[in-house]
Amino acid sequence: MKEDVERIRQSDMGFPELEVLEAYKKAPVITVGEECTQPQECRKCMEICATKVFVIIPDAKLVPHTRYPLIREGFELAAAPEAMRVVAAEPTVCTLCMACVRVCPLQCITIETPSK
Amino acid sequence: MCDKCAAEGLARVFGKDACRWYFSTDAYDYQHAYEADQKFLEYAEQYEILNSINPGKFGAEWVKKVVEGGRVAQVVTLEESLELLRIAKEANEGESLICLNMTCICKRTRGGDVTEPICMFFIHPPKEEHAREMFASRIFSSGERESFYFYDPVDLDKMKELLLDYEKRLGLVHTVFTIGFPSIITLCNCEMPYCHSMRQRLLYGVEDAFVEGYYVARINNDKCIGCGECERQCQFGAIRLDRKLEKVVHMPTNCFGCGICRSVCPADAIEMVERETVTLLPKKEPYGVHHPIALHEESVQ
Repeated sequence: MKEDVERIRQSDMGFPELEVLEAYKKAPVITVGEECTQPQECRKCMEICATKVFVIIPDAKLVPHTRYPLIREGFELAAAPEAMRVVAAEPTVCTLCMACVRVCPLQCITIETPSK
Repeated sequence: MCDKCAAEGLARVFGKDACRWYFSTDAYDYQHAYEADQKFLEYAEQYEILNSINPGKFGAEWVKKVVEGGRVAQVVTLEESLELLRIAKEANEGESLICLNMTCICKRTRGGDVTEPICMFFIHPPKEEHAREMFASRIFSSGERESFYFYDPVDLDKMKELLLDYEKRLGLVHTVFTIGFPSIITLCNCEMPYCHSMRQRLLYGVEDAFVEGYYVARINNDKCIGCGECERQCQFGAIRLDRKLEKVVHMPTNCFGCGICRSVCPADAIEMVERETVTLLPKKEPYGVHHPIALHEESVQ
């Protein structure tokens, strides 16, 4: 997959390289552990989060066999619950209420507060 | 025509009624949608769109690159929604227009209610064989996979009933979504904070991700009884109830013209008027060349 992405990057599309914003680097680091394998059935962290930090997406590692694993296959293979993962896509809006940490039945969400 | 549509040059394509481009037959060209979709996928893959669907990671630049002067979504009123559905049906008379009612993809991915289908796809499969296959694999076969997708094919008359219901019961904003402007792919019923496009506009200021509608609300305080229902339903913070006077105050620059306030008003005190008949200054005036910030930016460069 990495080779594919690299090939696309160097091909005729001419994508500009984007830099991660400074504000994003200062945001809390929210990680969801690998124990979370059935997020579509649970959805507890997604539902309790007031600012909707979490997004459910297909795991690239489990659907690596196409050119667009995250998108094309992703939404189609979304039917396969074991291929889905929860990620904290918008840590920049996290207000550190810690509700997701408390609600997770697997206790697998950790939040590292940003260093000032 | 409004200043925004004029500035974007929509008149060159859609004529003098460019503000309401979604009534043009060009908006129902799904071959164009298919081609634009390919391009969108390339960008989406490159910028990990699903992993960082917000502009908070890379800034708004990649969103603007994808949009390229078009519009991702635009608010429409109930009447416009019904007209739009009628045009979609007529534009594809004799062809296989397929209507699907499905659960909101934003709510599925962000944790909202997924038991009720509230997004309306109306799809006319493109003529090219490989394009048809792509649509078939992406849309139709997904209906069998009920663990994630939930499709409930309905006819256009049924959609009208549903739209009225969503507006009055759930307070959802009707929105046309394009895939490759101006090809319309869905008529969505949106809600903060789930909708990805609304977030891009309201949290990060990406204007073309979610554009104001053709109309704006006009509140007649002679009739207002001060119940505050419109304030509770407004998703954009455009209406506030003055508790002392028991009348509402309205900030039309914040008004997206969805018309939800009108539908819930028990006193019939709200009407929708054309936005261009109301003098609204743009919220963000670009800095003049002599503005201190502009001078500072120039000196930095």
